[in-house]
Amino acid sequence: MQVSRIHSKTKVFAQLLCLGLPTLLLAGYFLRFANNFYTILENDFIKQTIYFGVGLVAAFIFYAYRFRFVTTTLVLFLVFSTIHFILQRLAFGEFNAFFASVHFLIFSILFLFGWITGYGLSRSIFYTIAWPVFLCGIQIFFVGKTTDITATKLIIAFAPVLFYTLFIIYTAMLIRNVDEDKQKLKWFISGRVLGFLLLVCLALAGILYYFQPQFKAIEKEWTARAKAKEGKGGGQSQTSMTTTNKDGSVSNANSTSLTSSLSKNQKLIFVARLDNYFPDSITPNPLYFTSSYYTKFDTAIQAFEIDPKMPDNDLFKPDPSTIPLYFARTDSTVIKNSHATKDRKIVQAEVYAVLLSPNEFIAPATAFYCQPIPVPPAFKDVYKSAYRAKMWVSDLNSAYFIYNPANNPALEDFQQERFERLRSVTSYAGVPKSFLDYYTDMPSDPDYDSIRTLATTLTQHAHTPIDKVLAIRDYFLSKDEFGQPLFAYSDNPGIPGLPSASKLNYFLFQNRKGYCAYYAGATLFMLRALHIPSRVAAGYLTVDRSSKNPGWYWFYQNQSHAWVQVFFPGYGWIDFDTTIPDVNTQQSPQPDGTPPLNMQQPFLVADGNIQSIDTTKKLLTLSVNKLLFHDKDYASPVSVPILLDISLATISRDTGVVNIQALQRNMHITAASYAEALKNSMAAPNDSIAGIFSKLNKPVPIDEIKIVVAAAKNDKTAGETVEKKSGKLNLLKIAIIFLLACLLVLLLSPSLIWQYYHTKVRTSTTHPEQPFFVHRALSFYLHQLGYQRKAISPHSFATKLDEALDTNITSFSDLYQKWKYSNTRLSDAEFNSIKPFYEQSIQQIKRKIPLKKRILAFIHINRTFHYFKNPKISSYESE
Amino acid sequence: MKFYILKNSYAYLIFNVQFRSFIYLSGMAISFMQRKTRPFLFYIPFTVYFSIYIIALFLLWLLVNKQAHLPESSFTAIITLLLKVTFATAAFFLLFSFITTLIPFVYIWLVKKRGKLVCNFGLTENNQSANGIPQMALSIAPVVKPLFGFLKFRLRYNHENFSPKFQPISQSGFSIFQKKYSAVFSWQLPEIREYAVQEGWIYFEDLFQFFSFALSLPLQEQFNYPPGQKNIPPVSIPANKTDEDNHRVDELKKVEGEYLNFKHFEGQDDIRRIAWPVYARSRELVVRIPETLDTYASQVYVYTSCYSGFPGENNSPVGKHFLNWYKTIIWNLIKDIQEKGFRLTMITDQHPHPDDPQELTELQSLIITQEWQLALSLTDFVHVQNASAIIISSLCPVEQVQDLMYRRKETTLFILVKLSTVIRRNHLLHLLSWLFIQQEKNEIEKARTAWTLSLNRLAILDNEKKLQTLFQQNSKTLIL
Repeated sequence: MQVSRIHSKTKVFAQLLCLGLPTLLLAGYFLRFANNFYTILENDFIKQTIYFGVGLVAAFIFYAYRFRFVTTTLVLFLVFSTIHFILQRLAFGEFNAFFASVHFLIFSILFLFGWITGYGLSRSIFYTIAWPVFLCGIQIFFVGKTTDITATKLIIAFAPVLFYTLFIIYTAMLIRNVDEDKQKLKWFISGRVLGFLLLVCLALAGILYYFQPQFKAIEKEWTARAKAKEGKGGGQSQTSMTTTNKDGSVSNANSTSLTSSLSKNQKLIFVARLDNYFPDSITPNPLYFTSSYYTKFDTAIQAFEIDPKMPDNDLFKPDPSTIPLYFARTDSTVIKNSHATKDRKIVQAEVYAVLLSPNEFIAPATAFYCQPIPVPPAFKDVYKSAYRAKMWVSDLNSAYFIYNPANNPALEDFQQERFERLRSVTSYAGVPKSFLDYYTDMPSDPDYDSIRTLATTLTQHAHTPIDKVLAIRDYFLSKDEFGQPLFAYSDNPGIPGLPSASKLNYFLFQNRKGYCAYYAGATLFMLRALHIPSRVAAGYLTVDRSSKNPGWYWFYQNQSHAWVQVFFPGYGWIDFDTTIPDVNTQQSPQPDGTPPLNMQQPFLVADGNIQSIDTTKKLLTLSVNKLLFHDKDYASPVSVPILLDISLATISRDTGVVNIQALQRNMHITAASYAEALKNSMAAPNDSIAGIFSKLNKPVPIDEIKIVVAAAKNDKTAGETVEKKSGKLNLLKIAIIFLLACLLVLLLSPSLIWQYYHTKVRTSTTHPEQPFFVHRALSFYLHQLGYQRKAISPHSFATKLDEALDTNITSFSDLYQKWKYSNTRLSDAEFNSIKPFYEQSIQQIKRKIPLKKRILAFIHINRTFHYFKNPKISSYESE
Repeated sequence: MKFYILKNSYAYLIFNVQFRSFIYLSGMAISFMQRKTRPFLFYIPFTVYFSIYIIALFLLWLLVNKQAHLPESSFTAIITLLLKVTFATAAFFLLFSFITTLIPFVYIWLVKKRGKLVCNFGLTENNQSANGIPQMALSIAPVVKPLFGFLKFRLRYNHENFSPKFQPISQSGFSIFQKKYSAVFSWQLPEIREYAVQEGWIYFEDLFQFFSFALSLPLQEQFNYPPGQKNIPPVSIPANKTDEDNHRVDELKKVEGEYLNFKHFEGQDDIRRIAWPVYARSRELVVRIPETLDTYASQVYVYTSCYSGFPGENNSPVGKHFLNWYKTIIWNLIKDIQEKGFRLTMITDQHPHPDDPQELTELQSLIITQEWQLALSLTDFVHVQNASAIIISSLCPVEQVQDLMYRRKETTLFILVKLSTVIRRNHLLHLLSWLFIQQEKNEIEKARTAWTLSLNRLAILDNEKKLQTLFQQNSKTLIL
């Protein structure tokens, strides 16, 4: 049985070099990437690339013969399956057999994949075209999933695959079509491939340069997302109490304008556990979760705004993503600024963010403590980040207290009891005037006079601030002469009839339909009209719907809310919600999820910068500045390095779980370990970080890593990135200039070579040099102009030249041959005649051949290559 | 019984004839349409690779775009941009390919329109390459090659036959703006016969071979595809005395009674004929066999018959392949006879040559023009008393051969060219090899498949077997 060849050995060699090698390199690149995702691959991408390569090369060689693909591959598959089957049943230790079979499985899959690719590139046109386009699609998908979004990195990640796509299609077509009988086949293929490489490089550089602004725009957007906490988002046609960031996360909107409609939906934002119970310690007492306070009203844009300069700022607003895991940030000044001394206690809450932006901190008022905690591994898919908060909470605050208790007698009693307590506040004497002036400020526009009048009318029988608040609340709940509710909840309050009219006036006196911001805004102005210090709080209303998990609350986007806080001396800011109950909110989905219970407590939490990282062995050296060891804090002014084993670690950042590639040198991270091995290692009372580390076995196994992005550093990093980007841009420009320069040098090379010989003729005066260079210069000049000697004798060639150009080259040629091949030296007369002959000949050639033709001939690089490639034919010297 | 009546009823007969006519005419019509429309397909400006590429890009867009379901996320933005870059790159290179192919095409089109296109086409000086395949030379001037692209050709020969698209080996050096394109190529032709090239097409193809612009070229050439060399066992053909005694052969030919060999001594032999030098060397008594020399016994009449008793196979791939083989064997036999110095007269049942060709090239042309025929049977055509040798094939009916053998002269040599040996059917081992080895899609493979499926196969094999038996039973026969 004789099997004939399809491809010759030369073709197979060309295939291996031009198709196999780039494919192998790309496979290595992809496998390296895949190793970061799949643990089963065990970070051995070099070996895996070799497996793939063996399959690829074997297929190239095998399918150079006329073997059928389907049957031969089926046989191979059966052989591999049999070996795998046997390996699985070998009895030399179950564990070893398992690993051997897994290794063999990886080998056989990669080998077969290489085999199929080798066949496809060697024999199938369909595969040759479809395969690179398929790879292109895969890479688009992977690059799209990247967490490190910079224009340069995106281009660097994608350009090689794009390049490969074009290169493989062209090279495969070229090799397939080239005739094996062609002379100088290798030169032909090399020339074509190099030419095409140059073309692709230039074209891709141009295309990517053209698209660079769009890559930069994406990078900018991503950076903007990181800065979303500073609150510059928005831009939606509909107003929402929340802002959707570019990554899909949600932050509270920084201003709540009174526009015609409010968009709300049913997306879960976060889940929280709140340790606030009624005195019976069983019944959960929900609290509203506050995000920010709106203390100023901008009449120009008809919107409430956050004022960072509000007096006695009691808003604790840390960025949890910048705080190392398990390390807390506390601000006790907010407790002081709350001016609350009566009926207050410390309450703890844990917030697990789903769509909530990782930069956002939300907790019931008045929060003063934030400690990022890890999300339990089982819940990593649902929750992106988590933190623990502690609040200075008033006993008088409750979601039931401010919300309509809906005919629940126990809660109504509870409300009444608390109202009674607040009735003890009858005036604001003793409250600083600046504080009062700020929180009772309202526009002096005549439009607001009607609100003042209304407020006064409504509260004419109320004497204490709490009664005035309740009177306003009751007004919104009151009914008209027909027994119908006076006010209604609406997400679409409509457009004001008069363009100049205040929207609040329109709401209060005409439309009487609105959403929370309308009620809160109207209440605020009425209270301020009555000189009661108040502000609008924004956040999430808490609805206790979970009977299964007491103390756990689910927050959906439609629970984003605005309400009023009223200041009572001694009691501080107390929440009041005057919004008419929203039917839609009451119909929010029942929480049916499992709360993310976190039972693990870390034995070691190390915070510092990455000194070095080995992604292959999954080892990391961390320069530790702060340490939490068995719940005890340690800090050191000098960084102490420690080797960590991160093979089992879950790495996360603001956006959720990321792969090991996200870790880079000098990056600020927090590493936590729950390893049992650390349980018994205890620190001595006077131990330093270095002392504790010396007691631990290295590498220390790590279970959690959180990448910390410091806010201050962020800006710096952004600056550095811009600098880096401009550096990379410069590099690209330099590369293009370099390429163009190379091209120019290449085009000018015939002229430069000619100038070299010409100068040499002029400068050489010695006997052996001059005839040689005259001959060299003349032969090169003529060769470049298209007069090639080919296979005829020097004398015949010279005669032909003389006939064509009217020169006297024959005499020089004879003289040169004599000088070269005989031992006699040239006579002085002969020697002296060489230079004049040369100059005359050159002049004569120039006269005969027009300048345009000479210029065109001197950019003909192929002739130059040919001159040096075949010296035996094209020059006199080697004869 | 009922079935029998139905089968033989007039209605069935009419239906059968009508149905068969319909099928036959439909097939002819489709074949005619295909032949007529095929040249127009050459002018489609893109190739199947282009279609595959476009489909692949479309699927890429479809699949990747489907993933981009996260609105307002970086994932969507990135993949949208990367798709844009991919499609921009594809568009750039497609445009590049298109333009770099269109320019040379337009240039040559204009040149042709002005009547300044010079095309030369014909056999090379050597006529054949090393393996006996005709080698053609082609030159066109002026021509501009597509940048990084390819020049390909196609030929129309013998009216409505088309060669596959081929790329000849360029004899010109590398140059984009070359004035003259000259190339050679070996043309593997399907049949041993006369060929007349009547038209050609030049294709300008881009670097990816996505676009293909065709232009018709006025190419004309006539040539023969000759039979190849085949080693056959030496054939001893008894020569007749020449009709005219003016032709003396250079080599003496053995006729009955010549002293050429020795035989063992027997009782009745003349002892004077014992070859004593042989006895001295080998101690064996041998005597010389008497020989006579006739310098004029040199005329050989060879009858070659292309009569086929199986008209169904005359124009089928099987018939064509058989004919190639038959012609090759005849040619090698004739060459062998000619080289021995006989005065050869080859008599064929078609195109009888009036000039009695003696030169090998003339004999070759005569063989090449043979076709399977039905008109002249073997018995009508062969003059038995005159024939030195009669060459027949397996397609010749055994009855006719039997008749000839009955009437033959004693010295006439019958040569049977077995055709079934040319195409080996797929047996178990071959089936195994077929499973694992992809044979070249050539005429042999086509013929092998057609032979396996042929309805005449058993009848031909039976005829061949009978012929073989007949030949074995008779003296002066040869099976090749």
